[in-house]
Amino acid sequence: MEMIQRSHHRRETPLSRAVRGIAMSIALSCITAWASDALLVIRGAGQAFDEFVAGLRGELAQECAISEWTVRQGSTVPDLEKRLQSLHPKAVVLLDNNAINLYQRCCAARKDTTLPPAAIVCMGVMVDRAIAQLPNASAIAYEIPPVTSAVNLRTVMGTPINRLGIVYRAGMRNFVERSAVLCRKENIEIEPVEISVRYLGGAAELRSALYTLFSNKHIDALWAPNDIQILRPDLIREAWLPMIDKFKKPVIVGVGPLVDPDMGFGTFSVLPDHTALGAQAADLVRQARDNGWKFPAPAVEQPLSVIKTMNLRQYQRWFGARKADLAGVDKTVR
Amino acid sequence: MIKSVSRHIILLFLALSPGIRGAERLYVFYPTMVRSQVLQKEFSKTFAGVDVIVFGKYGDFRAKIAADSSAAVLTRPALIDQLPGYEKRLTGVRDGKTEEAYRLASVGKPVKTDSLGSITIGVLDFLGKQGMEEFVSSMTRHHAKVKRVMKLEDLLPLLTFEMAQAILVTDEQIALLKKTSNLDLIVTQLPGAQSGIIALGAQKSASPDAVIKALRTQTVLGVQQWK
Repeated sequence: MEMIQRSHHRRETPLSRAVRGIAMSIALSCITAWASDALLVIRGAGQAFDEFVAGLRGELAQECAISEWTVRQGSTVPDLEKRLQSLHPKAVVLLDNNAINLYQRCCAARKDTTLPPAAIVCMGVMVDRAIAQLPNASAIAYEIPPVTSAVNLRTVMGTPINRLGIVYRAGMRNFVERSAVLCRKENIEIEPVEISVRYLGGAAELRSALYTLFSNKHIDALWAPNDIQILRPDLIREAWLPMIDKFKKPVIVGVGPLVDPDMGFGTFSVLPDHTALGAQAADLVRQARDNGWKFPAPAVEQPLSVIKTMNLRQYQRWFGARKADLAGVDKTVR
Repeated sequence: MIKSVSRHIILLFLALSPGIRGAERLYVFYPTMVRSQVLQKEFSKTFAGVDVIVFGKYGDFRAKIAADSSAAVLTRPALIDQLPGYEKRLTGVRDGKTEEAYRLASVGKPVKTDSLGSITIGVLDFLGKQGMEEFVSSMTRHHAKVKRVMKLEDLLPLLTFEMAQAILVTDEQIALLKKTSNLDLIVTQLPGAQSGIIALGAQKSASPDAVIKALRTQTVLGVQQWK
């Protein structure tokens, strides 16, 4: 501020006027360049995508020209290529695995050797694997880490969660190991049981795993993974529901329908806040832009913000005497 | 001609008469760990006769102000300074003070204050990108990299996932976070880092009488007194 005031008192020479003019032109051209940087969001249809894009636009609307392209059944690589050719985006934001797969195929088919747009991958499953196969990419994971969910449940219940049980299949081993490290920072020990459930059967194995966690490991809460095989309807019916009902420990889920009170499964759901996720992705776009639209190395960030829902019917039935602190909960279902 | 004059007189009367003009409006943006829908219920009881909207996110608050800036606002003074046409009408006093100290919190060890320019600092967003960068810079006296979050509790994952080396917080915020987290949070003092707690702002021409009356008679957001 002091410097600005001082310069006002200085007499302007033709040279300083010229320098000021050049500086202003450069500044203006930079602003124009930023404002016209094209960003293409390749997305699916639905509310979650809308919320994500709203968060992204909220942060970047003044800095980038944002276009959206919705992947539909029948969308093809040439369709996407045409879009890329017409926009020449500096960055693409890929929302969900359909968009990721289509873009991957598009990149593979390309003969263009110039720097590919920076790719920001979000709302997909196993995004670490996806970005390993994409050029110039970084990602935000979609799975909410158990540490985030457990800390939130602990806050709501007001009781310690020292041991958090997890059943998982081999594909999630790395995730569970990383989660254990993060949980330890919050004094939460993960009690993991790996199971081999495949396409048929497995109820007895899952029941046994849950029994071990509840009965032998004395877990304070159970974290259910978003694994379609482990959460098959027959396994929910034959293993999850009987064991959950028998031991009456809080169950954290990462899928909305599982916290439905009529189902009697989840006590507390923790899902990504899509608007906040869009804003978080905007930071990755800026990171790439500030580095010449290039990510130095592929990296996966964890999602920061969540939406919490409490199944009050189950909570009050099992832990009625313990008052829940619901002030920080986004939604309650009864 | 007479019809036109009459219409203008009626419109002027409607605009000036508080009873007919409708209820006063108040926009509240003061992010805490309490969800905006919970605060909304509390505020609607406290401010009977005032239409209150509580916002949880800076972007939503600014979008509403951009669309309609006739309401009074209850928020951080630094944000009122940012709103075109608004001025502070009342300043909140908590524990005898109108300003609160900002400190850095980190995990396991204190922050070296001479290395602030090279670390990432997490902060709860109440001023937008540029505003928060300037705010953090004025509090720390360094140009640190800033990572903004929309909710207070989101500062914890920033530290857990090592996306930031420190977070900039008030004493009230650090107390809430310590209640939630078992992280070994270490506080580093920042000499002179103070900013206003809360203020009531309104357009220069507005008279938010009902809001002022309610504020003067009740405790809102832990603020016991208004000056």
